[in-house]
Amino acid sequence: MFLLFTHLISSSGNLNQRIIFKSLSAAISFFYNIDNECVGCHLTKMTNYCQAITSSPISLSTFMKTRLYNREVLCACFWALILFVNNGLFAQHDAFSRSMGNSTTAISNQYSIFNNPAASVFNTANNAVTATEMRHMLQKIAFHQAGVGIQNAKQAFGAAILHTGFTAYRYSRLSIHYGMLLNENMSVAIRLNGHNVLEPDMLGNGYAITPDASLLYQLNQVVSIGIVVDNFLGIHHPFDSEPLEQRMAIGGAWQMSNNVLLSCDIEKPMSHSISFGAGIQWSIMESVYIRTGLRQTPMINALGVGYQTHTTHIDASVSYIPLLGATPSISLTHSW
Amino acid sequence: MKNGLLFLLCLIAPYLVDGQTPYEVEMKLESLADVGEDEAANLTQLAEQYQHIREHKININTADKSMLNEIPCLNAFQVHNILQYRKRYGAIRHPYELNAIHTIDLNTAKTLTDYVYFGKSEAKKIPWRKMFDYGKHNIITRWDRVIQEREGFQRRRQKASGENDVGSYYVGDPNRYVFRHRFSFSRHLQFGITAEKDPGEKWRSSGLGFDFVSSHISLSNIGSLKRLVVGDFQAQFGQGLALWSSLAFNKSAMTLNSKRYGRGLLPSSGVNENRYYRGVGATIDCGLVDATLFFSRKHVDASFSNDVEGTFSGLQQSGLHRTPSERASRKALGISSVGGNLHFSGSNLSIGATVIANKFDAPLVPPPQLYRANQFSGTNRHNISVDYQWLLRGVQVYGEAAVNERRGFASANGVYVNVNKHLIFNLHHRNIAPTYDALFMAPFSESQASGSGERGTYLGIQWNHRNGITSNAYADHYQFRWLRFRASAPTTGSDYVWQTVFPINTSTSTYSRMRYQQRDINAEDTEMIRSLSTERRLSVRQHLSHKMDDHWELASRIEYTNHQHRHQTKNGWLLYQEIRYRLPQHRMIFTMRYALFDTDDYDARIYAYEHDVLYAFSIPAYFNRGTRFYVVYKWQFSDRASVWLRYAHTRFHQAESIGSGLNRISGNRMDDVRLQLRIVL
Repeated sequence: MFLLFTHLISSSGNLNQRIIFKSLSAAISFFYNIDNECVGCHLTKMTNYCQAITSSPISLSTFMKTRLYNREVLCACFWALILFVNNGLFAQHDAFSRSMGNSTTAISNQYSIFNNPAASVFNTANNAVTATEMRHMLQKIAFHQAGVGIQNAKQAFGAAILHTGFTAYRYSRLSIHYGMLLNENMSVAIRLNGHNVLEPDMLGNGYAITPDASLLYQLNQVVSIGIVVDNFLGIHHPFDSEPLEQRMAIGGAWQMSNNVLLSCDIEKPMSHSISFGAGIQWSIMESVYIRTGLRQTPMINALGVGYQTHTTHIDASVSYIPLLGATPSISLTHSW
Repeated sequence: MKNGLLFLLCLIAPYLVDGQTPYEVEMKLESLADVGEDEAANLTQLAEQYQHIREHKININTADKSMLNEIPCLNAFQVHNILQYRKRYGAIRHPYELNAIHTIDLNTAKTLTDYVYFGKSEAKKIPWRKMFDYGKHNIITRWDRVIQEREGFQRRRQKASGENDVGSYYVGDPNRYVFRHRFSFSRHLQFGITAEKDPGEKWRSSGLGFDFVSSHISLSNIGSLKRLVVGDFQAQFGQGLALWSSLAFNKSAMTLNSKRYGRGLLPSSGVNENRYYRGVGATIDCGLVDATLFFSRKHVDASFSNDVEGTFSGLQQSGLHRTPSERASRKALGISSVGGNLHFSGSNLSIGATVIANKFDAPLVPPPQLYRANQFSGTNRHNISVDYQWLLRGVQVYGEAAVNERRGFASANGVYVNVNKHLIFNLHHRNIAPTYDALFMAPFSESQASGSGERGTYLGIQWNHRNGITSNAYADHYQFRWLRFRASAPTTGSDYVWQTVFPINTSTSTYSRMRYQQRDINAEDTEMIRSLSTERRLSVRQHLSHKMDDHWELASRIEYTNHQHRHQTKNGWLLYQEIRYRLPQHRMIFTMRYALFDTDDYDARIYAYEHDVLYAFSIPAYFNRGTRFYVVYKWQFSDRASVWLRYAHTRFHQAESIGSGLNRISGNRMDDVRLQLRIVL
């Protein structure tokens, strides 16, 4: 990873480009509260260098307008965003979760096959889900996700695929999960993720398999608690001696009334700061929902809307991080 | 009000058989861990004491005050009210009738039924000749070890292969073995043996081979002989200023536990290798007065003094004999002790007097460090104390005053005010002179270290709201009039706790807890002239427990800690999820926990109680960054036999080694396995 950084810094065009790259990296490190020691040290050096040259950080939109970026700079951004930042590979990318501040650990719906497979056991129908987001409006940092959940009264099976990347870097994840009801109010699930990282110019092709565990229990008819533990065995990254991110999230959901759903969530990735999130969904009329959510570390503000027919849901959201800008996402589900 | 030990026993009581511990006990144990994890080992004795009481229930209609006092969940107000109720209305015929007794609420009544029965007369006495027919044998064997090899064992291998320059090393294998046998007959006879070999200790060629062996025979309530103990025993009198050899809790979120409730002489059944007496002791019931006399002779671990030949610098408390130097200190110093107590017990007033004299075979000479200037030096150590307790309606006053051979004076006095059924106050003041100490003392205080001259005032409150919510809070302000370890000047400190338990419904409850501590310690230990700096610690916890049905129980916790010292701030987080499954018809219990923790360093550590095998307790400190997983499986495969298996796995993130010195483990993983078998005959 650092080889890549070194390579990028040394090859990223003229001085202005390097300054911009360093500014952006510094901004990213600041806003995402990176505390990985090595990365932090590396970025701190860049921050110091950046501050010595530029008096103030540069915004992403300004950076885009300069048109000074090239493939390497984008690649560096991508690495910083995907591999270093909070919620990197494990972030929730569907529009529903995004609009609820990524606080959907305890919510049972079609998107549970992505977010908490144990919650998907409580679904009453089979589902097919697709989601896509363009992170910070950069096409090369777009996430595409699709999944299907099949279930009977007490069990659920599912599979999902996530893909992102561009020519120099591609990441794909194939997940399968199995969940079951332990009693009428509690379910557990296990998920296996196959990770594939492709870096044709640098490190080649790497694979890893990680297990996740999840749990959902209902305190009563309107309150539920969800727990997700990602990569609980601490499996290592294919190109790194460090493990793929371990993460534990505990969340709650409260169906406050027929029209209002509240959710909150505490998430602790092993290498990053703890993060709190909360969201609210309001059914303004039959089949139409508006949502808003907040997430801390990094601070994310999100808005979203949803529309549902008998078998189909369409959700859209925009989440916004100051400096880095907006991330639009859209999701579509079909139930049968 | 009874002290924390008995209350703890009461809480543990219904759960010991299946290994479950309620969260109130967890809180207590976690607060204990702040003092020292080793103390957790002493809980074994408490657990056994409880088990004995529970297996031999008391007739609530014929029990006198002293017998009712043995019931852990009753406080002095409640005992008094039961006696008054019986006097006024006659025998209590049904558990529901307990609710009619003032100060006994529904929860207390429920718990009380585990300890008492409602007979009209005493149960038919079983003749002694049928002792072995009706008595019960309880045998436990336990093995545990850490899978990874510690540095001390690596050096042992190197030493065995002929390398001489390996430094210190462990002389024994890494396995830990515990064997326990108890026989109890009614409430009159108990005898037993406890044997233990710690990891790193060597099997001995004499005796049973274990490094530590303890045994006892105890007779109780035979005529005027209230208790006779031969072998290893504990002594608990007064408020723990002069004589209290066993475990005693200090401050915790259960805020009404400042009073010690001494139980006199008790057989010692724990694995603490230093805090007990070995000899013979008896308590005679002389009507209103109980007279106790005991004699003890034993050898304890002690460090040889480097300065004066033939003297010892201090007593060792760890009980570990793993290295050549530790083995050299093993049972190095003989102590002879003789003590006694007279205790008058009226209906509302109790007064006691305690005398204890200890003689060391060789002088103790503490190292010439200034903070140890007031510690005991010499061979003869004496303490005399007077304690009292007075109960009048809703007020209970108690205390103890003690003096030692150096005329050092100590006192502990307190009062409980039962304002009404919902509100109880507890005020406790202690004043211990720097020159006062005792061989075995355990007063309610901030520090158990002798020679620091602690003085402080504690105020505890418990408020039972009408809707089932319970709030506990305490504030404790204290000062040390002499130096302490890591405090090179007299210091002050304070400690605050607030906790509220919200029962959401009959199966779900949650509690919030916040603790703030501040105290003065050295700003920098390495400086020649050491100035003081205030250390602050804040911890906030939110815990949710939910009993899904007869089979499933869940618990979730989030805890944050913040530590500040010398403008450095350190933070820590802990998240865990626990699942418990029980299958009564198959007599199986399965407990699992996954925890993720992230603290800046050891100063920001977080303690969390862990379920363990029966009579074992685990309260590890979570620090640095990593995950911890454990699973406990219990299977009762017959009416007489049960087996426990516990596996714990800890993985530190980005760590190259765990621990330090001879305990160091290479790598970032540690696996701990424990297996236990229990047979009841």
